[in-house]
Amino acid sequence: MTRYKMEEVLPLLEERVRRYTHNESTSVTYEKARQLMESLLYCLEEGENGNGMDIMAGEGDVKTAFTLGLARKKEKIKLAEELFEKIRKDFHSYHNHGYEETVMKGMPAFFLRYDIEFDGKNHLLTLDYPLFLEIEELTGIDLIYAYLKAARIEQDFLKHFPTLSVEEILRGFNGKYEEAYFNISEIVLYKALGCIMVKRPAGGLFMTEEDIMMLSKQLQERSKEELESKLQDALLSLDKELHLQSEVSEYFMTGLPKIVSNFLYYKKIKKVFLLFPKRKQKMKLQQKFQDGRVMEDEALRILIEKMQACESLEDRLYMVKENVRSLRDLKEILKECFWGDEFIQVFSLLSQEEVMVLKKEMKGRIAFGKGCIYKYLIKI
Amino acid sequence: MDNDSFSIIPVNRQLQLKKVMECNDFTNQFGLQITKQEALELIQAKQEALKEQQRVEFGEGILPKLIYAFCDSPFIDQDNYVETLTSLQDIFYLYKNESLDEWSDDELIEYMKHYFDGKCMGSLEYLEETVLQNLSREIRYGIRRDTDDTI
Repeated sequence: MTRYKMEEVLPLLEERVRRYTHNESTSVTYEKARQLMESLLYCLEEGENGNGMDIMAGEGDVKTAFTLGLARKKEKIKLAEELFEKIRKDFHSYHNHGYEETVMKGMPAFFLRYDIEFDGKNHLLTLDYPLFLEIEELTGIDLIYAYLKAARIEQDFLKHFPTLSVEEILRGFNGKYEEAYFNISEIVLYKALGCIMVKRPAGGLFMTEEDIMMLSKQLQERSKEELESKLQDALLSLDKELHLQSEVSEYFMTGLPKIVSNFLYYKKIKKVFLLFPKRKQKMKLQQKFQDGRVMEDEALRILIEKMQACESLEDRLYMVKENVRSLRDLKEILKECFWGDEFIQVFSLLSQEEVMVLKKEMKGRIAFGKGCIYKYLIKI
Repeated sequence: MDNDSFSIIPVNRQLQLKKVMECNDFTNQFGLQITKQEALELIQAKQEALKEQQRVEFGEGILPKLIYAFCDSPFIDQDNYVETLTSLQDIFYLYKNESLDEWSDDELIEYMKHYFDGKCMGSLEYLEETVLQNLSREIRYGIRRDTDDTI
């Protein structure tokens, strides 16, 4: 609410109406007048708040406050645009249409059509993709800027996980997640917290069925206070393990009450396990392997060298998906290019049938027992 | 701000009255005069028309413009002067709304005057119910926009 009296604001409204109509109309509809008044007050309140003007001390008239507020809003638009450009550069929607539409299509349209001069409170977008932490009470550019800041934080968080893993978790949560509207980072966060709680690497987003059942049972028996404490500890461990940026860490810590409330809800309906969705592939490699063609030795060697030079697990998994068509080649690659928990990620690319075949072939084989590959395979 | 708030925005009656009374100097040459009482009634009627059409007006208002535009009409004399101005105000605000504010004040007044003196032969009913209705329909359907085409 502005501190100015209505009789002080009305002359300014008259001026705004004249400017809006280009001095060509002495009257406007109530609807238009309301829009202009709201827009005026929106900037006026911005001018009254913060530094630069001491209204209480009687400094500055209503017009000065409005002009200052308008300038601040314009500065905020500029900052929001810059932030959006940063987000756009490496934005990942994980094929979720709502996310893509809201950020990549909605935001450019907003910056094109937003009218701070005469319709500042109207942020034009419905922002259908929900954030982990809902933004309340803000409108206009304030809302859009806050939304973009939160979206950036969520994107930064998601970048700590391989794209493929995130997509598989989402698919495990909702088979048609591409069309659904839910917060992606929230689903991934719960799974990562689950991994932490069963002492598995959070970055892998992998939990065995046994892990999930055991953890669900444990959490089911916890009181609200115990649950809160456990989740808080898990959040702190997650922060430590993934070296989260302070903004990201603070953002999710702020959401602790929401996390606790969600866990309590699933506890109440005795379905805590739903918070740790299993990974589900889009398309099993089974079809590709069925009539798999064995690679030429030279081609396989080049691929292995390329993969050995690559540090990113995500990229190596991608290379497997794109190039490997036979279990024979896969076994060679497993021995040379993957280590430890990474095996689990590779196995998760396979169909049940392929896993069975591999288990049969690797069982008792020194080559695979030595590298502990079989140990990981039997966890699948 | 709700609709009622706009209807109670204080009107600068003194300024409006002054501007209307000043018109007498110009309209004298056409034998048209407005008394102070008539001017106040016109301003009151204008406020009601604005409320009826859910519009809010600032500044000196539309009356002086209507007076200057219509005072030389062969269909207006001292006997029907105030009555005609009252109706013209009502029609003006109605069609500002109906034409979706696409036309400026001057454009709409020019159009009204052209047809009032021409095709309507001074009939306010014909102006309101036929000519302006057609105009607003055409504007809503995007058929016509430019005054030059229509006058």
